[in-house]
Amino acid sequence: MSDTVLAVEGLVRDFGAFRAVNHVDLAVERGTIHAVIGPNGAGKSTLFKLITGSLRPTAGRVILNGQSIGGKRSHVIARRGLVQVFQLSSICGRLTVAESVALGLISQRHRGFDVASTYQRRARDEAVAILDQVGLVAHASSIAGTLSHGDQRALEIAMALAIKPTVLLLDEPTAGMSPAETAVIADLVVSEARARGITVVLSEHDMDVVFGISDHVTVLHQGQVIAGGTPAQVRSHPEVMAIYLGHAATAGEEAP
Amino acid sequence: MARFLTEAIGTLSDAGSLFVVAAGLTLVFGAMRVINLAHGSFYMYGAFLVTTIAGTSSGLRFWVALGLAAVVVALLGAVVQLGVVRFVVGKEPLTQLVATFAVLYILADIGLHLWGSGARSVNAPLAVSGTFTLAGAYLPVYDLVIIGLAILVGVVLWLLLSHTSLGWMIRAAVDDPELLQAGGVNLRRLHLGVFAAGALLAALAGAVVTPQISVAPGMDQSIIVSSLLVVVIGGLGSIVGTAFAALIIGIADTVGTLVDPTWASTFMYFAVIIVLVVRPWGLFGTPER
Amino acid sequence: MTTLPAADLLAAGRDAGGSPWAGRLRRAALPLAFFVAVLVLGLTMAPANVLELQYAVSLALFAVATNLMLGFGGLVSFGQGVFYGVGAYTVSLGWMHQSLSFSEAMILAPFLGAALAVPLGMIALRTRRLYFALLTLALSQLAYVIAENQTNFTGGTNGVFGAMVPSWLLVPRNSFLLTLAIVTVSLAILWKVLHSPFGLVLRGIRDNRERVEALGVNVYAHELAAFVISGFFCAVAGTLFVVYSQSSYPEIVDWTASGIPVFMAVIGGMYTFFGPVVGAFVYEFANHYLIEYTQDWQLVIGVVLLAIVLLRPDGLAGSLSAIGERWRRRRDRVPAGPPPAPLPPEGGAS
Repeated sequence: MSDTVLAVEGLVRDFGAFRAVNHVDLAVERGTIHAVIGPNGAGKSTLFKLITGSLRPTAGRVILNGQSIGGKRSHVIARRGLVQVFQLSSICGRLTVAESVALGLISQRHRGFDVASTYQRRARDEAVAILDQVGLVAHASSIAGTLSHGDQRALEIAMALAIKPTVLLLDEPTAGMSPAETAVIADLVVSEARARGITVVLSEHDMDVVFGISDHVTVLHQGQVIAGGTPAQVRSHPEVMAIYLGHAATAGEEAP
Repeated sequence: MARFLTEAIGTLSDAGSLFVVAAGLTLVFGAMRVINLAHGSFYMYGAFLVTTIAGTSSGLRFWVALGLAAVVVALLGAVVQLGVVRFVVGKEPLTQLVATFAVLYILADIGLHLWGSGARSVNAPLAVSGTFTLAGAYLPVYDLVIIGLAILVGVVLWLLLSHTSLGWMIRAAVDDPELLQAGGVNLRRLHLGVFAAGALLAALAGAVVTPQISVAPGMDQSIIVSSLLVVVIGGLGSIVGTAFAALIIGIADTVGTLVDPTWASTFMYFAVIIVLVVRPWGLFGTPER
Repeated sequence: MTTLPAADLLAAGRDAGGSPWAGRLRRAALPLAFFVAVLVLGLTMAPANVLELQYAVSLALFAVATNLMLGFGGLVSFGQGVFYGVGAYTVSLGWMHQSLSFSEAMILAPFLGAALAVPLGMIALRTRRLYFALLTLALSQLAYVIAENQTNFTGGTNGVFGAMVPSWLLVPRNSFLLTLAIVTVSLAILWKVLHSPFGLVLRGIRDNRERVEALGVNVYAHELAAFVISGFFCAVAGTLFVVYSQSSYPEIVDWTASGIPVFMAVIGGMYTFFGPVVGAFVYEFANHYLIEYTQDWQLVIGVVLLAIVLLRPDGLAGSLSAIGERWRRRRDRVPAGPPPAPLPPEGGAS
């Protein structure tokens, strides 16, 4: 009945004497939107880096679709279906928007070593279709580096969608955005997740976004999970109210 | 035993001068994240200036020339920093390499105008010429001068970097320049000072080896290659690593010559390759992202 | 009107997608015109000048093959002289040791270059950015030291000189035509490679390797492939050096020699396909004529390099295509979406 697509078991990461992530367990249900929240320094970013393989855990396992992905290189993890969108805007600045999405399509079709065709041009229609969904179709021929910050985030999501992920990992998808841009991205995440059955794991400062779109919320504090459940459950959790929500207002403002 | 001593002193002397040049290169990298290919020019200018100032005399004038050459080149370094290098701080490695290579070209041609294309030589002061005997081996006294200088430079740099606020400032200049400036440190002046100091070290090394080599155009390009090998093995920015690496290169060269002279000069390159295969960021460096 | 195809062509690093035959023809117009101009020049000039033109043509291939890594892959290699040397020495040593005929050596050389690029690339690509640049520089210098010291095999410092090309190639026009033919075919292949999915992945890696890796691309393997392809064509360029000079010697592989194609790419513009071709011609003719008129060619080249790297980071072609782009925008009155944030490396026209 319960269908766990991504599981984290007893994950630990030390930086010298400092334990950034302390025996974290997570179980993400297929097709849900799962938020990880917590004050600055709670260990969210470290946890995400451990999941995507850019940091090695001190102990513990990460299981995707029933297979351990611990210690795998990040492109292998992406191939298995877990794709991340970084916290800081991270695009290929000199490519056009359509080319950026074609890049994902090429990766997904294993055509990276194709040196003789013009597949990237034939993929353009498909790329444009994806761009249409994220509202960037008008910019298809623009250079990615010239897009506004909000559009760059949308482009990143489009690039990630191109490789047809099972799990999409979003680290602070609305960081540094205007309220209008934030709303657009939040809607985008929900609609894509629902339409394609993609599981979304996100960390987020903006509590309106978190409680507005999530099916499940996990609260991290000082590297440990202190609460988890539906948004309503988490909201009324006494420990969360004491430790976290008191900081929520300031935490939101501190977002870079 | 005598053979060993001869080789050991020779190796230490070579490693010593190499350390002094490379220390300047790595010092600049540590503070500014710039690899300066024109560092070899400073070495060559140091050597040529000594030949000009000391002339054929072999007394006190040589020591004066040594100091004067270093100071003049430090000033030249300041000019290069203000005219070129400060514009490439924080830029892509390619930009830095091409810009400083251009400076190397420019200084090479200016050097040709100043000193011509012939080779020059200088005699060491009588007091440090000749040989001394130790355990049956005849050893050049001048090797001890070079080794002494290298140790002096190493100790001074170590004290400055680990026991004064300067070391902290140099590290912060890369890690958190805003914090540094908020603390009232003038970053541009710090860069200028460090770059001039780096040039000074290169010139000092070039000056001090003049009695042992023939001073000629082209030594700028050959020394920069050896110093790059040293700083890469040691880990960019690490003075301690540079000292170890200079020894490794010196030993590789000596062992190479003893094993097979036709392959001797390849040994140091294989040393670099082996180190970088095992540790792609050098012995004492940190992984670059 | 003539600046328009130029701008399109030079901006080839970014191709905006499917264009019909008309567009394709427009794109091909400038390289075609350039090819015809070089061909006509070569057939009409005095023999001594033909040789110079031939050398520039061969260096254009060296520069584009190096720029495959530099401008398209973001890999700053100061070691492509190694493969250039493999090309040249395969022909000259094949002749000297009487083990290979000229045509055998010409065919074998690129494959030797590519084969050597596999282990060297596997080692060098473990390092990143500056360490990669310095390690490749060291590899180049290692090749130089080997060429210089293995006197019995390589001819040592003096290198190899002699009648190593067939006699019909001693006619300047013939060797020019052979060079032009080989370079044209090679550039066409490189163009195809860089405008394939592989080329797009490579440009993505250049811009942001973490992003591309997170999209499931094995970045290391793609970089290695780029290294091997570059090694192959650098070796082709090396064989053409022998066609030009009937010799090979250690100086063609040392680190400053490896720097030359990098400088050509920087001068011409490394974010475009034909920029390095422009750079090669400018560099080589400047070099050739400066040596006749002044002893200070290093000084002049140095000043030019400094000026370009500090003021025009996109090189000559980059500046041209930026001007063309602006001109076209104004013509089409296409506002580029929201106020376009200036793209830092684009540098921009004045």
